[in-house]
Amino acid sequence: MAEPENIPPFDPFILAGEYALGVLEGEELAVARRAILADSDFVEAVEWWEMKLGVMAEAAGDFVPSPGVLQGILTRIEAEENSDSDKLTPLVPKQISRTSLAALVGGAAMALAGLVFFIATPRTTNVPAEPPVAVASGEQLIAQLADEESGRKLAGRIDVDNTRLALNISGLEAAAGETPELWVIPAGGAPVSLGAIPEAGTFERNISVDEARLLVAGSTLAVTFEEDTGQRHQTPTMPILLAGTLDQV
Amino acid sequence: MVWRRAGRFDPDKGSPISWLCAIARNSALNDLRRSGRDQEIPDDDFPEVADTKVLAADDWLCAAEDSAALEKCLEELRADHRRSIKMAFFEGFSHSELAEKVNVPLGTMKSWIKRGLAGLRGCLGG
Repeated sequence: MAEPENIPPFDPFILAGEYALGVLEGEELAVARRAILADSDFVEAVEWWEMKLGVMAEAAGDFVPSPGVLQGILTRIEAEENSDSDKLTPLVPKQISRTSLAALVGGAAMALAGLVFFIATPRTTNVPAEPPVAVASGEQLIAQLADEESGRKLAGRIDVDNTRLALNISGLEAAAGETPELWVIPAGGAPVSLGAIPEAGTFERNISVDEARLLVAGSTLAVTFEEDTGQRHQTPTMPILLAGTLDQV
Repeated sequence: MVWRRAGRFDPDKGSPISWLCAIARNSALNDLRRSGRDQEIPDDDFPEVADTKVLAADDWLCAAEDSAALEKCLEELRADHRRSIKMAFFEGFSHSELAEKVNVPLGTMKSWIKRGLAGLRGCLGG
């Protein structure tokens, strides 16, 4: 095998291209996912790349999508219909703030540290001692989100076969008139609200077919504080309180 | 559903078909990763976007100028950069999967992808 080539200096616009192309993994993917949540310039850059690279798909010819893929397509269209993405400015390449991405890198490191803290910390009365649902034999997805500084934690489990969402939550006390809201960010997609969640304790509900299409391994769960309107919001309000990836177990 | 929402597109963003292409690809990749990669596309089945094959005009669904621009820009890339980007696009390979597939160090593959994308950016948006 030849000697490795030097990797070019970090460029957030290129990171957006790699995210759109789907080649990122590990820490680089985590950084990109946090950027999707927190940096509108990065979102625009990803969309620019998707539109430019998407032209290549023409060359693949005509295919009838599987039922799963077709439902995924319809779900994404539906999600975009419900988003404010049409308000974005015209997509032209522009400089993304290195400062903001550097902050995201730091944020990802903090999130990782927080996850280690969450796993290593003895359970307290604020953290339910048992998983909110019994472990089923079928496919399970889990996400563990924690922020050491604030003490906010969320452990989520998706029971794929039974289409159930279960959460363990602590430390998400919101200001008056606000509520914690859960989001899912599909790979290469925009955040989609999963609705309000409790500030602490356990929470469990069925997930819809559309939600199940988004809640897949590799998608990101995130939590924000939103105005308590009783309805799901279109876009998350900064800052992102917690964020973490769904992993298959 | 698509036609009902077609009026929401900002023409500055590109063609609605390009938007649909991106959504369809992301959905397919999600499905692939969810179900596991149990089948790989033979290299011979890669669509030739820019290397040698010229598609008939009727085969192009997206805006002709977008297709022509991408084709021209891909042709300007180094062959290994171009091929790596195409492999990632059509097969959904990650950096490490590409490196293993092509048998180059991970750093080299990352460099190829980054330099290839930088070349496309300069060509398409410069």
